[in-house]
Amino acid sequence: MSPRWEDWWYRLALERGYLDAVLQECLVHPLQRLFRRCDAWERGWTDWLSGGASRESDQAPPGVEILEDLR
Amino acid sequence: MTTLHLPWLELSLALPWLGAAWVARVRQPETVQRRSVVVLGLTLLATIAAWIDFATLHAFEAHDRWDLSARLLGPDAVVIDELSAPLLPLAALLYFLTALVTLRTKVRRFSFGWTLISEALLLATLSCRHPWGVVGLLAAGTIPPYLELRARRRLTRTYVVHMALFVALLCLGQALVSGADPTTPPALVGVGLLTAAALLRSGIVPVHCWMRDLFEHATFGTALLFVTPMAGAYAAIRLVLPIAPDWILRSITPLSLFTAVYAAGMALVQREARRFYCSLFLSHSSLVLVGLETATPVALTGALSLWLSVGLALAGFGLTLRSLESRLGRISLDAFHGLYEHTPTLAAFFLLTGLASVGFPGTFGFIAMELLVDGVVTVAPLVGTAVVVAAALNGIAVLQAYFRLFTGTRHVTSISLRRRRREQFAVLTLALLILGGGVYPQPGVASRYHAAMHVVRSRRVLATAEPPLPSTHEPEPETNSE
Repeated sequence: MSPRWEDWWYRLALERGYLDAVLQECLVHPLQRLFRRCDAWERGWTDWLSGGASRESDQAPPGVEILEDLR
Repeated sequence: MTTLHLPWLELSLALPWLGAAWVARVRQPETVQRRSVVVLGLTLLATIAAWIDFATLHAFEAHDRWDLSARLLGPDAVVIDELSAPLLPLAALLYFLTALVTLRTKVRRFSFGWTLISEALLLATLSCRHPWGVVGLLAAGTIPPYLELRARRRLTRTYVVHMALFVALLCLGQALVSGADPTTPPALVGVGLLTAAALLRSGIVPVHCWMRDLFEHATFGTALLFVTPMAGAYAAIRLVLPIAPDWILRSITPLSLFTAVYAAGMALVQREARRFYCSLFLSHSSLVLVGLETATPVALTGALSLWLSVGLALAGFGLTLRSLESRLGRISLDAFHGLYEHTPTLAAFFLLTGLASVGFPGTFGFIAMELLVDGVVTVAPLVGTAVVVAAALNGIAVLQAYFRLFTGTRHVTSISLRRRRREQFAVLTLALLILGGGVYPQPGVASRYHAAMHVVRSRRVLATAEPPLPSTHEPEPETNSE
């Protein structure tokens, strides 16, 4: 076997046939993109329905005063 | 008529009202919390007593001793049966623990008075079997969260639009089915409207946005207590299942199933803890509806068991998130927080309740999920597969959130974030119930099977127009303890 093929087989074995990478690229990332798009649509819909910014947690302040209360 | 030994139900309904009057004029938040916890604890004891008393009677339903309410409101106004017997203490426990673990950081924002009133309304709903009574109480139950949103000067339009639609669908649907032959077209339209109302209250896609909005704008405690008792599923089982033909139930199963998978997928991409929790809850409550809509004995038993296990597990999960929020403010899931070092008990409980909700072996959720999948697969294999996919996605979402919150970095703070004694009590109580139900599931499953058989019998009567069978106890399905 030529050294080039040896390297190729070595990498393939080391990465377990690139199964993780294939699953990430072909399954996980497309699904994440789809659901993020759906989330954006939902945000638009609730913003319109509420008549304002519907997700206050996006601008949530750090919990400084909360930590003071815990003392 | 079978009666309890004491008027436990009326006592559990009256206590929160008396408690609300007791705290109404008190200005000191700590005093209000202390009094509320006492009242909610007494209410919990009354509901547990009602459950135990009912269990010793070996009857399908029972009324209060002396039954004062029956003279005023009719025989079905306050009654305990196989379906509601464990739901009453479950609801009371959720209210009690939520009030108990409210830290000083949240005491000023959380309205204990309205919490007592909403508990009274919820317990009255669960104790009521008269259709118009259920409709009225479900409608009244939507008011306390609205008043809180108003008091906090938050946007209310999304909540109001959805809840107004919910109440309108309920009233119109019930008006059409009242006294009508269930097979006539107007009654079928009424059943459709009642079904739509139940789906809306359960947050089925595409009418689920009100739930995200509520979690976003109300206090976490109020949102948690409004959704975790699953009033939508209760409306479905009391108002829809006894009269809905199979084709209506089967035609809405895809919606519930889609919601279960969609919400599980949405839980994976949420960047904030409350929205993540809301998605996770939506997915699970939709799974309960899938089981109810399948309407076979095993699927119904699975759905009713899942109702209890999800109620316990996700309420515990929500209380853990709320406790973390009390320490850190709104929690982002974009970054790692590394909180395990500071709150190992909450971390363990987060994992336990999250995994219990997706049916991890050794928890009550395992039995419930097994029954649900088994019952659904025999009717529609593809539906069963989708249920498993939703559960798998939920499991991934729970672990992802766990790693973000408790691992990945070292959290540096100048003050102690360790768990409080009240939180430890709540954690131990819920953990005991979740694990106890998993190790010894037979009593819980048997009780759910009896309730399921009663629903199945009433549906057979609808299909064959024959008189109902006597309500004897059926042989119970055997479950192996873990």
